[in-house]
Amino acid sequence: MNTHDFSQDILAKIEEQHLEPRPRWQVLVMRAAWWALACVCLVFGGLAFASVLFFAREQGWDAWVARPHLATVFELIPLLWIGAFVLLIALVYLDVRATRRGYRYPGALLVGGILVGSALLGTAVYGAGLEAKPHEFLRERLPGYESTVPDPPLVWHRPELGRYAGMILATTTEGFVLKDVEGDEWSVRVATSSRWLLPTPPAANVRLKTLCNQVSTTAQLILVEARPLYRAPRPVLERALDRRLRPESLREYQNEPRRFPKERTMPEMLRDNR
Amino acid sequence: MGDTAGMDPQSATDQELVAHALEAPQAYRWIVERYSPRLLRYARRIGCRTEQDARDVLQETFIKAYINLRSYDADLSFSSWIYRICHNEAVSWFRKQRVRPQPASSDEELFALEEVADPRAFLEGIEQTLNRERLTKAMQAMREEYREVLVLRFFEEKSYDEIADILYKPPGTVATLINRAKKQLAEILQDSPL
Repeated sequence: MNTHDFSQDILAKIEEQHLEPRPRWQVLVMRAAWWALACVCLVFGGLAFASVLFFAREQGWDAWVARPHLATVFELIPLLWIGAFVLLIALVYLDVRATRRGYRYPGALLVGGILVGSALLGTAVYGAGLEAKPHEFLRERLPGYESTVPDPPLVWHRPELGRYAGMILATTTEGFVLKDVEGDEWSVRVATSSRWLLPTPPAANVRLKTLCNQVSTTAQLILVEARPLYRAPRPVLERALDRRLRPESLREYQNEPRRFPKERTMPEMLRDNR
Repeated sequence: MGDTAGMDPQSATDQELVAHALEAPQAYRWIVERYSPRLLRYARRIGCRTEQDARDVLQETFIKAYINLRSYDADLSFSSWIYRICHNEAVSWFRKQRVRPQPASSDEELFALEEVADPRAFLEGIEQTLNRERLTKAMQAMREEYREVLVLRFFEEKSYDEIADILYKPPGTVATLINRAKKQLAEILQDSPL
């Protein structure tokens, strides 16, 4: 190849197509953009991690103790948030790899660093008490999110596994009447072996989640353990729960003579829960 | 005068040529003339079957290098930078043409052992008697990513760091690839008739 002719061809093509070197500021902006994108993804990864902690803490740990099984993890920590966390970590990895020197870092070190960074950020968000915010934000603003990622009490509530979430309608001599998040009412007997882990004794309007054993095929339950519905106050989520529990029914209940909830057979309960 | 402004293009460093080309576009030809012979050979070694194909890749390489000349920073050697562009353009070209990168079997000069700067290191673990034809056929039969690193290490005489910069991989990965490449080359040579 005649290098002189070849170089003349190149110059001719540059002139013919009016090509120019890209301005330096454009180069710097593109470089900064990659890093900015990596930082944004890292922040969102941190928020996703905080959400995973939120769901794990609100119900996962308790349910894990009740049923230690891998399926419990995926049942109680929404796949959406686990998936979002994994996706964002992958995006940070690809962004850093695309930077000027990012390719030089060993893959395992890079992934480890990103995971640690996200986890630290997420833990800081959790420590600041903001771990429910991403879930609340999406719940209020993203159509379809609520049906995909139910609030923790709705996920906790699995009568077939002995898990009930709801609100105390009234106390009784034996315990209390519980209205669950599905609207069903249960008579709950508090035994001497029952563990009451709320700061206040049973009273009307207290929201809680419980582990119970069912008495035969009736709507009577024996309390095993009761915990607060949320670990910390969650005004946005509790307002959403209000709409389900319909507190006006509490007022109706208090105004009417006390009556025992209608007994339902197991087939009726299973049919209704389907 | 014109495009050199008192500078001797033969002895100028790459950085000086780049700075000059940014001021006077005609000076870009010195960079083209300095790098086109070795990049042409490189393009053929990594899989451009004909000289025309390699020239097409080379043309795209130099056009792209010119457009991105201001993104070149001195913390990377210019050689590694332009080899990287050439490598990427070759890969894009193979994808566009939907051809498998494979050096031409007819050109045994591409993989002449005399071209290797450190034949002992290259032949370590491999039989010592090797003719051009066998070596060329063996290089052709290798996996592309293995052939690439062997070409860069032993035929283009790049260091591990430079290869890492060219291929956009961590230096540790480059070392692993070179070991695997040599093993594959040894296996291919063992299986091929003398």
